[in-house]
Amino acid sequence: MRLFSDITDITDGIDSNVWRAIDRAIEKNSFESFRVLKSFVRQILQLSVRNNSPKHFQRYIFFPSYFYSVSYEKAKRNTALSALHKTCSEQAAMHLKEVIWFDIGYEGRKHQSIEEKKTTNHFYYWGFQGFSRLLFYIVKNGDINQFRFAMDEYEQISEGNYNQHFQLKWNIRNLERENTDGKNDDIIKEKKEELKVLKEFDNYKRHVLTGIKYWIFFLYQVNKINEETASQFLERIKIPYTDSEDLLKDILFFRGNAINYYMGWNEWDYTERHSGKVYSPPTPYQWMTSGFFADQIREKRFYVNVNELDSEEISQARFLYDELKRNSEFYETNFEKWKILLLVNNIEELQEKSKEILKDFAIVKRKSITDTDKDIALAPLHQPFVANFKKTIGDAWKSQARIHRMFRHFGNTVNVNNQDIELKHIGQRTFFEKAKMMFTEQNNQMIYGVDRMGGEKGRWEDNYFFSVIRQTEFNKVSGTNVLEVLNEALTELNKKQIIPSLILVAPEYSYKDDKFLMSERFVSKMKEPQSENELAQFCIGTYDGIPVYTSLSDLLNNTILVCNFNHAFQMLYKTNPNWYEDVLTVDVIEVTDNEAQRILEENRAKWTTLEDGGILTDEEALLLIKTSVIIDIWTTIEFKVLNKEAYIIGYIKSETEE
Amino acid sequence: MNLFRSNSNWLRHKTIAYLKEKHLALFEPYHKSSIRYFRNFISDSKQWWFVLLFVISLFTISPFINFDFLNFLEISSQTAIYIVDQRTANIATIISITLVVVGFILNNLAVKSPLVYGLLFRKSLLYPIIYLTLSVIGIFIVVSTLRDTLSPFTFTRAVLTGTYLAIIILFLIGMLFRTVFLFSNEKEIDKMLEEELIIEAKNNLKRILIKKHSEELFVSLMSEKGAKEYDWSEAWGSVELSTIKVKEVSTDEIIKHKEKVIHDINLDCISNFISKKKATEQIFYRKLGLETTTTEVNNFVWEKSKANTKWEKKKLRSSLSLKNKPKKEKDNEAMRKFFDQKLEQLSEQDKHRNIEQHLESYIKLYELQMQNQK
Repeated sequence: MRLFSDITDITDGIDSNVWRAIDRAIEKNSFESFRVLKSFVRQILQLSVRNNSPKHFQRYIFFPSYFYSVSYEKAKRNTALSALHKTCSEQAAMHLKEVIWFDIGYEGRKHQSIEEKKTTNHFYYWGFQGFSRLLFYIVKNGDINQFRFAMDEYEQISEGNYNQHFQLKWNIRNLERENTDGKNDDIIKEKKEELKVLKEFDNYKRHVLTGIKYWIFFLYQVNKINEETASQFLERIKIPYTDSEDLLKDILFFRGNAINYYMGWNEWDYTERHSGKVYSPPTPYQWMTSGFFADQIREKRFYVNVNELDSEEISQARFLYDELKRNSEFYETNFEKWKILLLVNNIEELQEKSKEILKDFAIVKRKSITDTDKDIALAPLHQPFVANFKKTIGDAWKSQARIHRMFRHFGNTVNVNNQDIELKHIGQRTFFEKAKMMFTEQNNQMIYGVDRMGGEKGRWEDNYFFSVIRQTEFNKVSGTNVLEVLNEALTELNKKQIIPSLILVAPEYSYKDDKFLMSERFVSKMKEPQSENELAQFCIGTYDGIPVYTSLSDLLNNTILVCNFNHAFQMLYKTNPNWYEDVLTVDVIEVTDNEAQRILEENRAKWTTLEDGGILTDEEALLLIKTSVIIDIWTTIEFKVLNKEAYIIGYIKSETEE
Repeated sequence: MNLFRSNSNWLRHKTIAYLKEKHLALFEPYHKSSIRYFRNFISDSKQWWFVLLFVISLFTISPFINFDFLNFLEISSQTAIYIVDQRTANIATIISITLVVVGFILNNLAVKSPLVYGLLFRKSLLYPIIYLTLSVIGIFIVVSTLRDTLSPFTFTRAVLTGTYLAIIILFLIGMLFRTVFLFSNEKEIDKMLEEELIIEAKNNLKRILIKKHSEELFVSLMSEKGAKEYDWSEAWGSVELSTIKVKEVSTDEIIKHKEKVIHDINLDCISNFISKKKATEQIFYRKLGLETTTTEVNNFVWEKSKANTKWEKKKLRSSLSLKNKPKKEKDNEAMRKFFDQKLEQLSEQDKHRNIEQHLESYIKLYELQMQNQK
């Protein structure tokens, strides 16, 4: 609540009156009054989005988290209120979800220009902050059931125009691929700015989860929650990382200056402070870093490519290394306390993992150019290592490019080598700093986790597929759970006399939805082994005899695809004997002199400044640049919808009141 | 005076024109607003003199005017003498019954609060009707006393006027009953209160906007003229400590600087003032806006490190139209306060249906604010 009145606002003060009324309604156990007041709050939020008034939005967006928190406190003292508390907490998560997803999303879709999108992002930011606050209260109360419910709601939130964002990303990657002489520099810069705006939604959504996750680690560190609760909470948090670079960007962002006021994290505190005593609340800067380290050990998902960073971020990254090192020492000394949460069996494993993570970050700590660097810069690529790398990347790609393999399996593909058709390149050209050491005969060193680059491209392919099939007009159904949606989709297809051959769901459904798993029509592959084929690995069973597959694409969250795969879609592709299994381009290219020069011009400060403030000469900097390599990874394909009647996309929405 | 200022030399006119373009929803059509203004004026309990003067003047001019359509009644002076007492008694009876009935209804008002009483008095025109009736009775008493003094014609005319007025009073009392009865219905009262809330909010919003936009217009004019807003950072370095002299200010001078409210600003005057200055140094100004209270009324534009002359101060003063600061601030938020209290009561009593309706009024306020805040 605010302390100062705003004399230029005729509604000033209504919010605190309404809040008092809500408080009283909860106190009096009055469902009806609560319902009325809660819908008022929602209406104001809607109005403020529609009329573009962030001021009023901010005044009301925290109300849902207050319902939850206040009703929890009151129900603790008076058990008669527990039913109302349940309603309050469910409504809190549900409303926040709907505000972000429907209310802001609906208005947001009307706006197309970048400036307008920025305004929408502003609302998203506050919306997510509201949700973040709710999660904070839930964790504070150790309320694991409510946490699961809230996370279910949270995961449903989507922006709805992922396509645009996806197209743009693809566009940039393409431009970068062709940008060997720097002709696309300007347009890439412009598009990247645009992408930054479009990505904000995903960033906020991810940051809320990261924030609460790291906070849980912190609470455990200060003994505010026990091990069991903490691991229950942590198990339920899944952070969607579509791009590996996001992770690095995130941690650097969390350590930047903006963090002090971001998402209200600076207000998070784990204990009631006595008045009159001087104290400093936990600083996000610190607990975010130690949480990050703990999370890395727990989840293990990292490879570093510092190319994307600007010099400000690079300097942040250098301090990060020292901080992480302190953290690794901390976890090692307190190994017994942490081993369960960090999911490590023995101290050796912890040390091993810490070492790998620290190694990644050591790259950004640029001391000076050494003789080893010079040797690496001048050495040729050792072909066996390159071939080996291609295979690693290829295997990783293959394990994730599920849609691609489905097409190959079902055979609805056309090889267009001989035709003059432009296909899409799904993948990326990456400038990988300091990575040449992976490919030189002497001084050879592996970089941990690079295979993920391959897996990532595989997921992009799946993403691209889902974005293509949603671009054209398509048939859709919706329902409140998987079974309902599935049955409806099957009936629809039946009406059109189309025999479905495949169902695609997100992998969570192999364990998450009991109703679905217990259904008689579903036969799990555990019970009845399927015929072994190359898709068996991501088949979870059959439903009505139709195989159910999973894909790792984020675009599949809360949706289901039911189709006759052969009739509905087609994949065009090109092959080349030099590519991995003839389809995946993996190339490792040395940085030429010209290119090195261009990269140096682009960001001179970054390449010439040393950690201790010293300056490299141009020759030295060029050598340094040449310790990097350029890695191309992409497939050359295109997906086509042959018959839009032959597939249905089902949306799962949780029940909503209004 | 206002009439002279309705051109774009004057800030108020400019601001209002701008607001009418951008925020038309806040403005009522002219005839509606003037009727409302008159009603509010007449229904104030302090306006007894206006009604009395009106009635006296009617009686006074009655011998001199001659409307043909009112002349179909033939009353001889004898009849007039005969009926004058009766009319007085009639009106007295009517008013006494009226007061009893109104008193009874007031007792049984659905919502009892000073604000609702005030609203009832205003809406039903109770005060002016009572004043009118009393004035008519008073004058009838005077006329009947003067029956032998006045000429038969004047006397007859006076009685006739009184009779017509008595008939009008009957109608007015009928209207009064109709409105007063509405007040026994809570829903009707809520409707009226909401209406009042919105009117109040619109007025407040208008005042906020006038202040804001007038400041903006003022600032844009000044920057057009190359002047710069003065702030404390300008003083840094320009003042050497040794040159500061403490000047004694007499009590008279302090009193002279009484707080005034700016009603209007003549933009033309000020821009001429700046142009004529032919300044070599930067010109500074202090930001002014309509409805702002200030003491700085003759020295708000000056050239850097150069004081204005007396003549210049006079010119600056004359470009402003000022009002005295009202001794008692009018409560501009009476309705809001009432609504806020009401919400508190309703939630205390857990009346969710009423709360719902109540919140709808708040939503209207929010809509108004959000749509007009830019």
